[in-house]
Amino acid sequence: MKNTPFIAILLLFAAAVFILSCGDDVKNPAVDGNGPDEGYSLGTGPSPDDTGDEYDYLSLVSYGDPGSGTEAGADTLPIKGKKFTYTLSWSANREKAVNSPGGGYIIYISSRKNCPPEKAARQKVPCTSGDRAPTQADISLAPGTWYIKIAGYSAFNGGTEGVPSDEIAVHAGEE
Amino acid sequence: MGISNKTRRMKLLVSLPLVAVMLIAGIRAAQLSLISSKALMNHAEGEILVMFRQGATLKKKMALMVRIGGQEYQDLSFRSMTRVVLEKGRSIPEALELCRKSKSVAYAQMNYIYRAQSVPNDPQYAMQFAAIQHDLDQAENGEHPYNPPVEKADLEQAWDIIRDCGDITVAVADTGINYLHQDLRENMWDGSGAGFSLHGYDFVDDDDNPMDMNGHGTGMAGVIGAAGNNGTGLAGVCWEINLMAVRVLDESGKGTTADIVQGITFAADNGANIITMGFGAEIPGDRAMAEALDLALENDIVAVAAAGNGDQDGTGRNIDRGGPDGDAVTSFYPCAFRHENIVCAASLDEDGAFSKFSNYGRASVDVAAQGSGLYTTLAGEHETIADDMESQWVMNGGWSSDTVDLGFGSFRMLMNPETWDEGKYADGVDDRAYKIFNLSGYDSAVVSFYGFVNTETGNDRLNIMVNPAGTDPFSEGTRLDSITGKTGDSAFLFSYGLSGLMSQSSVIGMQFISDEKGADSGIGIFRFEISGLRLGPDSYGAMEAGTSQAAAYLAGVAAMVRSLNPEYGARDTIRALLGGGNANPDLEKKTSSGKESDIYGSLLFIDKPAGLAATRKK
Repeated sequence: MKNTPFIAILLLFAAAVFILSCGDDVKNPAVDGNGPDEGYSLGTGPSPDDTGDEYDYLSLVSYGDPGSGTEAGADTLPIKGKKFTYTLSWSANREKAVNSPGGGYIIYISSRKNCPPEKAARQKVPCTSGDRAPTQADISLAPGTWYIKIAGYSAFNGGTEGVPSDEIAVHAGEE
Repeated sequence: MGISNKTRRMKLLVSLPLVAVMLIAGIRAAQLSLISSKALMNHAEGEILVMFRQGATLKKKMALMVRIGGQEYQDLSFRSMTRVVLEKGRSIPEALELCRKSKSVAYAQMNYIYRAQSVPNDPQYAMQFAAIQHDLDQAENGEHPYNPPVEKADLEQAWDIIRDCGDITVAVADTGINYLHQDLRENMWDGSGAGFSLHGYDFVDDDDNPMDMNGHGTGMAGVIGAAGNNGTGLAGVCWEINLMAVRVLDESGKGTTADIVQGITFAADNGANIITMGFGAEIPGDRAMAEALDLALENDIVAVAAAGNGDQDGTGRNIDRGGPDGDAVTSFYPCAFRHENIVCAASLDEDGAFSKFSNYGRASVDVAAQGSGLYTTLAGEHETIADDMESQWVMNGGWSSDTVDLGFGSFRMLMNPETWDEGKYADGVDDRAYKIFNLSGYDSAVVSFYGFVNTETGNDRLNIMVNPAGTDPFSEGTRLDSITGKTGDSAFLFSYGLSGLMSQSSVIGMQFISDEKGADSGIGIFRFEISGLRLGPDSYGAMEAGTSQAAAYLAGVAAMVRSLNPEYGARDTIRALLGGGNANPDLEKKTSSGKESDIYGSLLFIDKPAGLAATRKK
């Protein structure tokens, strides 16, 4: 996009060998005590809804704006196995709510097609300063097919999320 | 002349207030074809619009004018369009056919008439709607004196995000704006740099003074942007804004294609972001208007249109299906256009229910907004002279005055013949009735009445005459209309602006002429009244209900959305208006969005990101 500032955000979504499910019995990490800005942890643990089953969660990695002094893409957990890094890019939304500090984009990732946003793993790409949220981010994926979509979120009322984009499929490791 | 109470049962479709609703909004095509009246026509009598091709020489243009019988012509400030007034007796279809055959002409069409989409100012009707005030002084004191409008809570939330739309210009294409109103003057568009020091232009009278002589446009302007936080009156949706007055409708609320396309061009040329079109017409199409809206789209202008105020039976209809009664020839414009920059508003009442009078249609109508009960700025004080249809009328021949039970109420009527509805009028008559009215002190006035007119079509007619000199209106006056044909058993509303015809002794006359053969039931006139307007700087009141009021509200929301999001274009703004609305099951089959307007939701609306792609990083 012309005039769209390029801010590369390194997002490392380590999915390892687990299935990142969006079934009804899988709780969204974002509502499981991890604030979106704190990140999510990759791991295996008991069912969040106490069904006795074990579930695997998408891990959160920290991210940072390369220009902000925060190291970009610092993994909080070692990624097991091979990983593949992709650059996601999209056209800038024109809402001030998105392009103001406190707003930005959310990336939804799932191993299942058409996973509802509220059941997918998510990662924020915030507008940290200025008047333009990033329109590009790097993600690292474990081998497999991942379904990805994004939405803008608002700086005005605690992060209301907008309409998600069309979903794309990324076949990590197949190229 | 004997006066006696009589009872006559007229087969009427609806009760009186609804008659008022239906008659101003649209006339059944079938019935319209049976009655000929300036007041009811959907095009200007004896006029056509001609769009010349580029390169058409003056010589060729003049040759065409002669061929088609052009008596007067006016080059419009819209591309290469000319308005042509035909010689008396010339047929419009024939003139259009001659134009079609000319190589100098791109196209030619009728000069259609659009009407403001508000319900008539019937006191009983208006009383159904509670006024809603946005008095800032009281609001800031924690008091909210208004009844809960549909969007009250949303509006207050919205004002926490944005109140001022000072970077937005809204062209109010309407009856003008009283730009001297205390709550509007500081929000009027500053056109002085472009040579328009009075904040716009008047395309009705072709001068630079777009003062409102009706009140409809001033009401629209107040809803959109009455100044807020000024310690005076009320606040519009936007507290600061630039209101451009584009007068395209006359004092009776009517305007032609010729005036409106010039108004749209003016708005585009002078940087408007939004244009309101609180008017509509039941017509077969309007290519000139479509091209003007193309221009608006090219200039990224959001056009907010009114869905229209119902049909002959007093209820809204599905305008996707063409004209009234399923007539596939006509439809309701401008909402029937498919331009991406048009958003068409239906009406909700203050309880959030779909307004009975509001048109709808999933292909034509986009969203519903509050269309009644909004308190707003008025152009001045309206005064109604409700005539008793009896005293001081001077009548001869078959004219008489009597009280008649029409089945939905008893009314004093002027009628001709005295046996109206029971017998037939006489052949070879020239019967006259007139009355002198004091219309001094008014800035504008409109005379209106409901009438049954059943005459031998074309030969027998009712002439409506006026003479401000206080003398004989029939030989020295101005003819407002010459009505012939048949209204059948339905009463129609006839209204006429009296611009330039007002004096201390304006004589209004009714002349009924019949030839030597053929007769019908004649003339029955009731609810004759004159509405006078005295302009003033500090009048407020409830705006007349109608889809135009909904359009005004939606235009205010559009201004807010666009101001909040400076990068938004017309399409973005409309997506936010629709996408941010509240889903309403009742609207699923009535509007394209199935939603009612939600200003807060529209401000928070975030569009679907586009162009998502993933690239493997090496």
